[in-house]
Amino acid sequence: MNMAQGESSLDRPALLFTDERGRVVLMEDVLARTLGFDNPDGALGEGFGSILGLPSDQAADFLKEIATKGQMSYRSIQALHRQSGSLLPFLISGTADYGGGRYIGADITLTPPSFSLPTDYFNHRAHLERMADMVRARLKAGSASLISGERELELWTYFAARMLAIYVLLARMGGRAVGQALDDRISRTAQERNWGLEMRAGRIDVPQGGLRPEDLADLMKQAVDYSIKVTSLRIVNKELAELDAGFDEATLSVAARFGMRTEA
Amino acid sequence: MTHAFQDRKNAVAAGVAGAIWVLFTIAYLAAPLGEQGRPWIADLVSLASAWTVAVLAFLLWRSYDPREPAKRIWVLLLAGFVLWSVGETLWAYYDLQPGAEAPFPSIADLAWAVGYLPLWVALYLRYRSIEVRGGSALWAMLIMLSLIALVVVRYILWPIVTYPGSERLIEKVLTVLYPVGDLILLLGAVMVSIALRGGRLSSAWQLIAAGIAILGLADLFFVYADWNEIYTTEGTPNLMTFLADVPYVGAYLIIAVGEYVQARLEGTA
Repeated sequence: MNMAQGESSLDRPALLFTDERGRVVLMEDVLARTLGFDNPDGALGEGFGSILGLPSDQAADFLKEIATKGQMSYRSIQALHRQSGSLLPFLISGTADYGGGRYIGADITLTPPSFSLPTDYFNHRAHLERMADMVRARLKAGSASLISGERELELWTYFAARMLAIYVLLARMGGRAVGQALDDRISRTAQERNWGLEMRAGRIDVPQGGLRPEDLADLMKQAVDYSIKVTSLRIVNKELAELDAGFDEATLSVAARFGMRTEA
Repeated sequence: MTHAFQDRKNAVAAGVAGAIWVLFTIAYLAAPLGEQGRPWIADLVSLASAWTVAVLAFLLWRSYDPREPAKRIWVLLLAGFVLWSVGETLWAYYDLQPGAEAPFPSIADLAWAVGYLPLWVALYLRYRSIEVRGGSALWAMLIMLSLIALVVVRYILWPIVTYPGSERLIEKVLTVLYPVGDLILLLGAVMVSIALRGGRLSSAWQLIAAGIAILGLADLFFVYADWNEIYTTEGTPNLMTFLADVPYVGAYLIIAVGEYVQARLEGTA
């Protein structure tokens, strides 16, 4: 059965991050919708093969290739829509993510068959950049009325992307419970200070009334400190430096000025 | 845990450790250098394994920045493992003296006993730093460990504690301390691995927990055999002596592999 009418489809590449065993730690909203998930967090912890409806041996082969070769080039797959059961044609590719030089998870990209990716796309840095784009688009769509201008949007994007990158790193290195502990810690702090901000599976929404950059820096510091406690300074700094590479100098310097980018 | 061995160097390290343990077991049983050579083989391999654990702990400690909490955790692990290695060295010295029996208690016991303290604190700090409560998996593990503890206390430690005569009080204290100390260590290591379960870091701690579990088992066999005076330091080893000596070396080797996996993950090995 092919895609049913009314179902959303991908018109660009979409990302799915897994841990070393192939369990989903982050899935792009647009991909979640395309696959028939009501909520992008609905797939967390499930094997990527299962959420795509792939045979388990095929998913295991893909993961093994990514883990051992560091990369897997395009393969054609037919993913299964969660609700309608219709078949969705994609090209799947993947890149290994490394923590301290060791494989810690796979960055998997699903691409519409008509789309071709640039050759420099196949690395974790490019995927973090893509993840930041996702965060930016999400903030723009969901919080436009709460963010006053481009510069503020970029600062929020920087903050939210960093938090999400830290969440993904923690879920990969320490497991989902550690990712959840980060969510709880940030949400608890925000609640104690009446900031109306919540973190769920690494995602942050802009609260009514916004937050001062100093408050964002405070939350960021907590997240960075916690991730260093669980992993290490070296691993956290490397991940955040890779993410920073996707932001322009102006954003980085504003972030640094507000203390959101102090070296751990 | 097996995922850790998809990394080729980790797999090689585990293979080397396994090969050393198998060769040691063969040499221990076959005594190729004669009966006189068996204690030498047992003591030197134990020594090398214990010091390997200490050296790897040192390398890990050195790899962290002073501002990192991991630096404090690994300095405590380093202190504990060095004290244990000193204990092994002193024990080997006593044991290899011709015709002499290793005294009990001795200064080696002091090093071993004191070594527990930094190890307990290190595992507690590591668990606390993760800030994850283990949930049902932790409770299941606590219940299992409690049952094991009950059996150990009832059938091995209680007869020792209630043995009439106070001249062996210090022996009694040490004899009880080793298995209890191991059990606390095991609890700490298991709590850390449960808190990190599903993550890449858990493999290293699972290996360390497995090593500590085997070490505890070997200590129990030693305590039982020694108290009942069936532990032999000369001649062909009986089953209890074999069960105390051979897994003991394996335990150190497994802990060393766990440390190596951790070092690889941190990018220091």
